[in-house]
Amino acid sequence: MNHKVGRRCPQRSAPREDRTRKNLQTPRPGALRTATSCHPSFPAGAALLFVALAILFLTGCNKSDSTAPAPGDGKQLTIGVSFETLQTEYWVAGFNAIKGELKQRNIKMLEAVADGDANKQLEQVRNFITRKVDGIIIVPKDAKTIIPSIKAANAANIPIVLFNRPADASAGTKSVAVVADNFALTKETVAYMIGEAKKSGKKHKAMVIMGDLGDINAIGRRDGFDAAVKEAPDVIEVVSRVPSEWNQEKAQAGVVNALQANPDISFIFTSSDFLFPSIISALKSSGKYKQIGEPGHVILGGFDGDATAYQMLKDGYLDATGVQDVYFEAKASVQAVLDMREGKPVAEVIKDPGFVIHQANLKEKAPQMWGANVKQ
Amino acid sequence: MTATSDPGARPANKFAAVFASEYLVLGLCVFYFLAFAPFTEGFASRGNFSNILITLLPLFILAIGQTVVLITAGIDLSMTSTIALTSVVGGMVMSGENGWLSNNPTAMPVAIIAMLVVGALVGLLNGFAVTVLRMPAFIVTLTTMMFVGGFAVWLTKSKNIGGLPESFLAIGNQLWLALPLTLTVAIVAHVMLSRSLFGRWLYAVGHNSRTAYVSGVPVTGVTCSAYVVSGVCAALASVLLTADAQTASPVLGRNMLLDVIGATVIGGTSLFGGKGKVLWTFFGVLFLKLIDNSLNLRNLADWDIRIVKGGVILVAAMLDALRNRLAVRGS
Amino acid sequence: MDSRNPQQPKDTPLLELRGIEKSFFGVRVLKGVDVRVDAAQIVGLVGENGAGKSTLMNILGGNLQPDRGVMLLNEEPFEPRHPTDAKRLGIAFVHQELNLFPNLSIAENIFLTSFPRAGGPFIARRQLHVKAAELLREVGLEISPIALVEDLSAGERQLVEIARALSVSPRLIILDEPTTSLSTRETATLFALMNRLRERGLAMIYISHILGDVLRLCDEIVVLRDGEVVGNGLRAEFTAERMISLMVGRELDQLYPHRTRPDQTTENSKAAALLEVRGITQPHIVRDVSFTLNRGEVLGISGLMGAGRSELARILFGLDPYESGEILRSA
Repeated sequence: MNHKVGRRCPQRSAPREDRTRKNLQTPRPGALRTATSCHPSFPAGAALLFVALAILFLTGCNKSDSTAPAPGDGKQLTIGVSFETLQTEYWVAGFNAIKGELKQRNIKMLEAVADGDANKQLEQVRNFITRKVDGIIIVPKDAKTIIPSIKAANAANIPIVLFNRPADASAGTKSVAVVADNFALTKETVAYMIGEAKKSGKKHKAMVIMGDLGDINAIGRRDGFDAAVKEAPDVIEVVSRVPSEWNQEKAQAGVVNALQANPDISFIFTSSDFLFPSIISALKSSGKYKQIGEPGHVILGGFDGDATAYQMLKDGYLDATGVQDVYFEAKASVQAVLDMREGKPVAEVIKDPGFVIHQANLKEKAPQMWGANVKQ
Repeated sequence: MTATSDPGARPANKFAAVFASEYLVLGLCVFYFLAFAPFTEGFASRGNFSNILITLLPLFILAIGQTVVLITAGIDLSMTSTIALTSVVGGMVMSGENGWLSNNPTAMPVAIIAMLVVGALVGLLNGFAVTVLRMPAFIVTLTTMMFVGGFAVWLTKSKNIGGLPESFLAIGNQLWLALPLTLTVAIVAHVMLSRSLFGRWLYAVGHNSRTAYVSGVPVTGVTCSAYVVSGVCAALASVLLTADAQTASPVLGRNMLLDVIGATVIGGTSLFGGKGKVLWTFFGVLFLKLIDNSLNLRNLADWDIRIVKGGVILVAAMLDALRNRLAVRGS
Repeated sequence: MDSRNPQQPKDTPLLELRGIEKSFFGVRVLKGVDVRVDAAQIVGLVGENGAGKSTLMNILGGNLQPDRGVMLLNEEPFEPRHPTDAKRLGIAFVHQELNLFPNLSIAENIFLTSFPRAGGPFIARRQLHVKAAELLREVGLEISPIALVEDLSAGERQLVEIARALSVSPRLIILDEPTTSLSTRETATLFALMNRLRERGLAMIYISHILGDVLRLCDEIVVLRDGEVVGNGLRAEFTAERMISLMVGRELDQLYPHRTRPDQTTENSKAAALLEVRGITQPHIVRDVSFTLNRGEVLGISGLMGAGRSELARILFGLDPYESGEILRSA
C-alpha cells in the first residue's frame, strides 16, 4: 500500500447536518454543487479587490508625477487636447505634432481620446473645464456633435480651437477652426495629375474614391476633384465614383468592381491616402500596378501625405499627393489658443494651404511631409 | 419544531459578512472617494459633482433596466443600440431641420413618446424571441444589437441630426429636470420589484423558470415584460444622452454596454438570476462613475481607464460567482 | 398517532380512477389502472421505478392527459388540462423535487400565484404574512413567514411545500416521496401532520419507497407494477415481503443469486487488499471510519439517512475534503 489519495485539508465553515438531495430539475449554471474548495475564497477575493484598488492608486500617482511644472518661469499653462479618434495615421501624426508643439512651448498637455463617442468627448471636455485648463484643442466627430462642448467652453471662458474639422457656424458659438483647404489643395493636386496625363496625349478614363460624405473634408476634396476635372474635359473622363465612407473594405470592393466594369481606367484619385492599401491590392490583382514610366502605369493621386504615400512616391508608383501640413496646423492651433487667451482677434477659420508633393519636388518637400517623418 | 438557522449559508466568518453586506459597494465608494480626493484636483469640486451626475444619470437608468432583465437570469446586450435607434427616431421627429414635426410645439413630447414606443418595441422583439422562440437571451440580444444598430445608421445614412428644440435640450443639461426624471424611474422600479406581484414573479422566474412555470407563474408574460422594461429604460437614457450631446446620433451610447453590465454586477445583482435591487445598482453605478471620473481627472488615457474598469468588473463578477456558490452549498 | 380506525369503504369515494391508460412514443406506461380514494384516508402507492407511479400522479395533477380512462372527483368527471385546473378543484401535488424559490420568503413562496392584493399589482404585505403564519402554524412550523427559504433545512422546506398545498384548501394531497431528504425527526413531524390532516377529512396519496413508512402511515395500499395494479387492499393485508414480491413479480428468495464468496484467509488478506481506509474523520460528517476493501469483493455500506454513507463515498472519491485519517490504495 503506498499511494495516498483523497483531499486532505481543514474545513473552515461548519457544514450542514442534513444534505438535500440533488435537485433533479434542469440545473442552472452554478446550481450544481461542484467540489467545495479547500480554502474559502474570501481572503482571495478581498486581496484581489485591494490589489485592484492599489493598481488604481499607483497608476494614478505615476501619471501625475510625470508632468512636473517647469522650474522658475511663472505659472505653466495647460491645454487640454481632445481627439475624437486616433484611428488613422493622420490623427496620430496630428496628435503628436500638437504634443511636440506644446512641449516646445513648455505648455502642459492633458490628453483625451473619445473613440468615436460624442457623449464621452463632451464628458472629457467637461473634465478639462473642471481642471481649469487654459485652452482646449479639439478634433470633433462632426460639426454638430461638437456644439455642446464649444458651448461649455464658451461658458467657462476657455478658448477652444477645432483641429482639422470646422464647426457649424450657425450655432452661435465662439471658436476657431484650423482646417486644411481641402478644395484648393485637391484641385491643385488633381491639376498636377492632369498635367501628367496630358503628356500621353490620350484621353484618360478616371476613377475618384470619395470619403464619408458626412465629413465636410471629404466633400471639399470631392468638389476640388470635380473642379479640376471640369477644366480638362478632353483629357479626363470620369467613369467611376466610389463612395468609400472612409472604409477600407468598401473602398476595395468599389475599386475592384470599377476596374471590372472599366478595365482601361488609367487615372485614380483617392480622397485619402489611407485607402491606398485597398487600391493597390485591387490594382495588383488586375495587373495594373505599374511604376511611373512603365507602360500601363495608372496615374495615381491622393490626399493627406501619410507614410504609405511617401513610400509609394519613393518607389515611383505614386504621382502626387496633397499634403496636409500637420505641423502648420498644430502650430496655428496652439498659437490661436494663446492669442485668444490674450484677447487678440483671431480669424474664425484658419486655412492650412498645404502643398502638393510629387516626383519632381519629392526631395525638397519630404521633410515637411508628416508621412515622411513617421517612425515606422 | 423550532427554527434552525443553517450555519452553512451565513458564514460565521466576519470577513465574509462584509462581502455579504449589501452596503459593501457604498462603503467602497466612500473609501475610494476619501482616498483619491486629496490627490486629484477637481475631484471634490461642485462643478465636478454636477459633471459626475450628468453622466451618471443615464447610466443609472440603463442599469436599472439591465437589473430587471438580469433578475430573470437573462441579459440585454442590445440596450446601446436601442439608445442609438431611439435617439435617431427622436431626432427625425423633432429636429428643426427637416424633422417631421419641425418647429411644431408638440414636437418634443411626441418625439419623446415615439422614442419610448420604439424602445418598448425593441424590448418586445427581444422578449418574444427569448420566450416564444426559446432562444438564449445572449444570442437574441446580441443579434438585436447588431440589427437595431445597423438600422439606426441606415435610417440616417450615418449622419447626425441636429437642430433639436430648446425645450428638449433642457432635459440634458439642466440637472433639475434630469434628476427628478431619473429618481422617478428609480422609485418606480424599486416599488415594482419589491412590492408588486410582477416583482416577486421576476425573482421566481430568475431563480428557476421551470419551477416557476410549474407553480403557475406566467413565465412568458413576465420575461417578455422584463425586456420591454429594459427597452424603455434604454429609450429614457437616450433622451438624457441625446439632450446632453445636443445631437441625435446613430452611434450614441455605443461604448456604454460594458459600463452598464459591469455597474450592475458590481452593485451585487447576480448574473445567474434571482437576485438584484435598484439600490445595489445605484451603488454599482456610483462606484464605476467615481473611478471613471477620477481616473479621467488624473489624466489616465482612455485605454488605461478601460483596463482598470475591466479589472474591477472582473473582481465583481468573481465575487458574484463566489456568493452564488456559497448560497448553493448552503442549500 | 396511534388512533387508527380501519376505514370502511364509503359509498361515494372522493376520487376514482378507472381504466387509466397512457403511452409515450408507443411505450405503454399505464395499462388500465383503477384506484379509489375516500375522504379522510391515506392511500399508499408503491412500485418500482418505472412502474408508472409518477405518470399516474401527473395525470391526476393535471400535468398530463390520459389516453383512455375516466377520473371522477366526487362522482363528477374530472379532466384537468393544467395543474391550475387540478388545484382549483382541490387536488394539491407536493412534488418530489420541491418547487420552492430560495431567494423568496416563505410567505411569498406559499402565495406566489395567489397573493392577497392591495390594489392593482401591489401585494398586501401584512395580510400576506398573517395568512402565511396561519398556515405555518397548521403544519407545525415555528418560523417567521418572512424568513427566506434558502435559510431552511430540507425538512422545513418540505413543510413549507405542504403549507403551500394547504393554501388552496385541498381535498386531496398527493405526496411524492416526501421523506427522501428528511431526517428521522423530520419524518415523524411530517407523519404527525398527515395524521392531523386526515382527521380533518383530507385524503392523501402517499408515494414512497420506504415500505416501513407506508405500513406505518397508510390506511390502504396500492401496488403498481409495469403500469398495472397488482395489489390493492387494506394495510392489514400487506407485509413488506408481500409488497416487494408484488412490486418485482417474483418471490423474495428468487431475488438475489446465492453468494459464492471465496474464503478469506489471513495469509491472503494482505495480498488481496485493494483499498485501506484508516480513521477518516471530517467534523460533523464522519468520524474515525476504517475498513479494508479486498479484490473481488463487494462491500456494502448501509445506515440510516444522515449516517454519512453518501458523504463517505464523496470523501473516498475526492469530491469532498477530510480532516484526518488516511486513504491508501495498493499500487
